[in-house]
Amino acid sequence: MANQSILTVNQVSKVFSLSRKKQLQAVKELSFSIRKGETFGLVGESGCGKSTIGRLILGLYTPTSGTIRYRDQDIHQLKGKKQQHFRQKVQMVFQDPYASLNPRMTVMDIVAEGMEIHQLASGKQKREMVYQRLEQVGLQSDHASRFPHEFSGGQRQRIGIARALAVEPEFIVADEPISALDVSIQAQVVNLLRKLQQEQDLTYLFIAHDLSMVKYISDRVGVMYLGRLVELAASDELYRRPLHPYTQALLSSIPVPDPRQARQPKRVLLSGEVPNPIDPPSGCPFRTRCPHAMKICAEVDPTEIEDTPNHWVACHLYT
Amino acid sequence: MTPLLTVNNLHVSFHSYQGEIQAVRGIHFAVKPGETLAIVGESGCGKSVTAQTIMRLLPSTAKIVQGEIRYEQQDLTQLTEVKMESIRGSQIAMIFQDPMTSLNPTMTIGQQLMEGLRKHLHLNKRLAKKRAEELLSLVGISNPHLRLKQYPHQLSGGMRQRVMIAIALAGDPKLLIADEPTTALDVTIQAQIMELLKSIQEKMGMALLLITHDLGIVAEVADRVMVMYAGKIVEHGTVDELFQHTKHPYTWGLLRSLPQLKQSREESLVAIPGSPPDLLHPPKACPYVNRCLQAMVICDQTPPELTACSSTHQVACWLEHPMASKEHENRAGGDE
Repeated sequence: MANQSILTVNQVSKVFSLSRKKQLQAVKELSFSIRKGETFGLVGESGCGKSTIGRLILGLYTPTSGTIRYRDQDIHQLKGKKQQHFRQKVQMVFQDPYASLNPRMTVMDIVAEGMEIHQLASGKQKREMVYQRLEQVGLQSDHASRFPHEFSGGQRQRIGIARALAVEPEFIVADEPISALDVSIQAQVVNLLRKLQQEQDLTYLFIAHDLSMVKYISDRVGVMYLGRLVELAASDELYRRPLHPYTQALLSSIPVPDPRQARQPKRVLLSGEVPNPIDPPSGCPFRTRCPHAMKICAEVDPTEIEDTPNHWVACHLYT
Repeated sequence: MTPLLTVNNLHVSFHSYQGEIQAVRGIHFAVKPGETLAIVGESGCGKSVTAQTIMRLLPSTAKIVQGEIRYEQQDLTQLTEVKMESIRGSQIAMIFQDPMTSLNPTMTIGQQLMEGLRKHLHLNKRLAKKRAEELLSLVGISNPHLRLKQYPHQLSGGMRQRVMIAIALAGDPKLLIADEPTTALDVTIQAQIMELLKSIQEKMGMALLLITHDLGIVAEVADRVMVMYAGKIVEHGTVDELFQHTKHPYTWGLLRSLPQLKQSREESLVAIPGSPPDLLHPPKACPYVNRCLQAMVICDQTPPELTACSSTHQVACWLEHPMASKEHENRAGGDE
């Protein structure tokens, strides 16, 4: 049961054509699977392709190659009823709680829209269900008649979560759900997401750039760099024993809110910046910033190897 | 040491069609030469408004209701715009949060950098160019000669923030105000920029007023910290005092709501319930009373004054009153 994967991403690539000659490879040959009931975290810096993979999983983008299977069905081949069922069971929570709610709709309409589309309830029953969802996410039922502008950022994010929950999903893609919120509100929303996961047996794909939050919420974490998955491990293992030089650098870049620790020199400071994904370096994408780069790194793209059980890394240092 | 900048009882309000929004409600602080003072707080707490007030860059809807800002025997709130222009850039400089929008997209890096050099230092074109190249190398930009001719859109976010820093340093300021300088940047680039700011500060001996919401950054770079909440200073002290002898329940709440890297997933985060008060109708007593787990009857009636816990540590909380119960002192905050 615990090891049953609900979603499998197999060798998925996504290429965007920018003009006749320019192509941007947002995601390159990515493979991983997500188990039922777990929280899978994806971290990486802007432009690493983490949001693209989220959208591929929702079926908003079609992969250039590779397949994504949800409960053993290729989600990009689904049609009619089956497609509608998939769209009900897989929901999304967006980053920006200001832009992702229609300002002209009341909270009632926003939360109920999905229920109507999927014909889950109508009339009085539908209203009751909306109230129930609002209370579940920590809002009050009399908030239903209000408009999004009457709420704070944290409350809007709760509305977004209530909307996702309204259609009884199994799998939620949360794309940077807390990065637009203040610190004290972030903890509220994360606690809410975890409570809901336990209550409803949800599976999460949690996409973020904040490593300490991802570590805290996720069971397993994948680290992405320039469209590639460079490391994948259980979250405690990844933070205890990061293998890839990029993961090591990311971890040591997090500012620690403790002055005694902060004064100790410990930084693996990366020089330079992320290369342009339109014109990526040959071989390993990270070699231009890597403190351990070797000759082979420029020539051969490293493949993922399982260093210790369930700890995968794509780096020539470990082959 | 005489302070470089002193802010006394500053009140700033915005006028909106709904009424007066009291963004800053009576704050006092001083910045000493060469030190790093951090202002932390969440959105809407008044930290950016404070910075904009010092620079006199407030939008036209805002007004300094009362208070003074002393910089070298002058009150900045009373200066004429012309006098203020000679201070901006050459005495006090500022870098902004968003390097994407704070550079002019129609001017080259060189033009934007040399503008200040020619205006404040009265350099001729040749010398200004030479100095601009030096500044770009100082902030770690390779090939400065070529970069001077480029436009902002040709640079990455981290590079643009480096250019912003170079522009701010052009007039050799004594005080640099950095308003969330790394919020828009990725974490590895953020580490680079903070490292750069620290090294430049040491080299040039300027004071840094750092505005941020990230307590991790504060722990790494600041000497002293001020925590703002709803337009007021709630706690003020050295970095060690603030992190290890946390007094105010809000500061404590902020520290506890961050996940620790070693924290197990079984423990829930200690979130602060509720949300900050509406500054259209600011609370008369303690602004944190509705979210505070230790609130007492008096907290809802009389505003707490900033009281000293040590010569450098002040807190505005009724729990510090001699008559308050001392149970809260046992909570995690100091060395456990």
